[in-house]
Amino acid sequence: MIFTGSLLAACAASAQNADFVDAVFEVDEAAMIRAVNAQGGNLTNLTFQITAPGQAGAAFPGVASQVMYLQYTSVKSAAPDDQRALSVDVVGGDFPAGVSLSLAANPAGTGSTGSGHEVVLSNSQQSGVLVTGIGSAYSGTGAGQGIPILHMVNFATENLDAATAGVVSLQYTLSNY
Amino acid sequence: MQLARLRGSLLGAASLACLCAQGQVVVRNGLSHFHTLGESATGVIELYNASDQPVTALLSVDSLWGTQRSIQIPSEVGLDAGERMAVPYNWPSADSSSQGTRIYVTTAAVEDALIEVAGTVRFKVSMRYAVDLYRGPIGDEVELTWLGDSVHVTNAGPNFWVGTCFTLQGLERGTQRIASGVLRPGDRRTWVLPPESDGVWLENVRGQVTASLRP
Repeated sequence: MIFTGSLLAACAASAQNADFVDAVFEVDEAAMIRAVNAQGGNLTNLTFQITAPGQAGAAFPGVASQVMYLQYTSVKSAAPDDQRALSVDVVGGDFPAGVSLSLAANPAGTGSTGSGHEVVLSNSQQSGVLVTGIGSAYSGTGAGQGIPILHMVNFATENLDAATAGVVSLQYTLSNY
Repeated sequence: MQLARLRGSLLGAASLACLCAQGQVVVRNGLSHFHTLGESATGVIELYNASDQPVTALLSVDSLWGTQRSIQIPSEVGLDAGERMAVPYNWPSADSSSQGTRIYVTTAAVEDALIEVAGTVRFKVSMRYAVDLYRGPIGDEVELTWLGDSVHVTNAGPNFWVGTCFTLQGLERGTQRIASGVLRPGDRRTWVLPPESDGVWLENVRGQVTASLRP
């Protein structure tokens, strides 16, 4: 509303000194995204520690899930860039033996925030789509704002091999529909 | 004639500012570009370094569909803090077939390599943008099916459909534009009609019309 008012005021001011005024409106077709932690700080990696149980005979306890927030600004355009999608790919490294990663996205923000989906990544499943139907929307920039992506490490004790701990590179892609 | 060029990028600038110091390149001119045959097969991908540090943007080419002709585009460009850059691309040869090429844009990582620690699983996270470039002839083979107040529009031909969907008033084109853009071969869109309209009028950029009355 303030933006519109400023433009109108500018048009009016210019019109006093000219016979004709053309106002050309250009809106960036913005596509911006970044990963942050719960405090709103930059996030470049997530670490999960799979620790031994406290008592002999017990299975390894589950690992607490972690949330990454994807903050974004999206201004859509004409088809086919009228809807955008967020996907994830494994682009490097191997999952440790017996380990997979579940990801769940819940759309958040103001505007057309789309629909969230769940993805399970492993050595046999290397990609998936987390959010579809993002239009013109934005998430906010503060702590706790953005699309929360819940990361949960799944494993069964009998399938683990401590020698296969490792680093897996995940790449999140913002694309058109 | 005086031209008062009032850029709407004030809004964009405000939102871009919040990403300063985050070390990331962003795409400013959309994630899809279409070039019809007969016009220049060149274009640009506009990048902006929203950080306060110089960064390197990496651009890699991937096939999308259709006949693949090599596209000329830099594989990496350096951007100073706050710099905007138009990265040019060009199809060097003419081709009458529909083509789709995807350009991935990432920011080169500057962090140290992660060290593997026994008993831990680390996930290194990065972001990228997929910018799709299309080139080819324009067709008019669209199919319309109705579902309540919505119309499903499918590009049933082998070529791109490029045009605008208007409302239908009586048997004439209405004044209200519902949607516009490019439908790739096989693309399907669902558009909701305003209740006072009688149907849809799809007109491609060559003036070919497909219209349908609301059932």
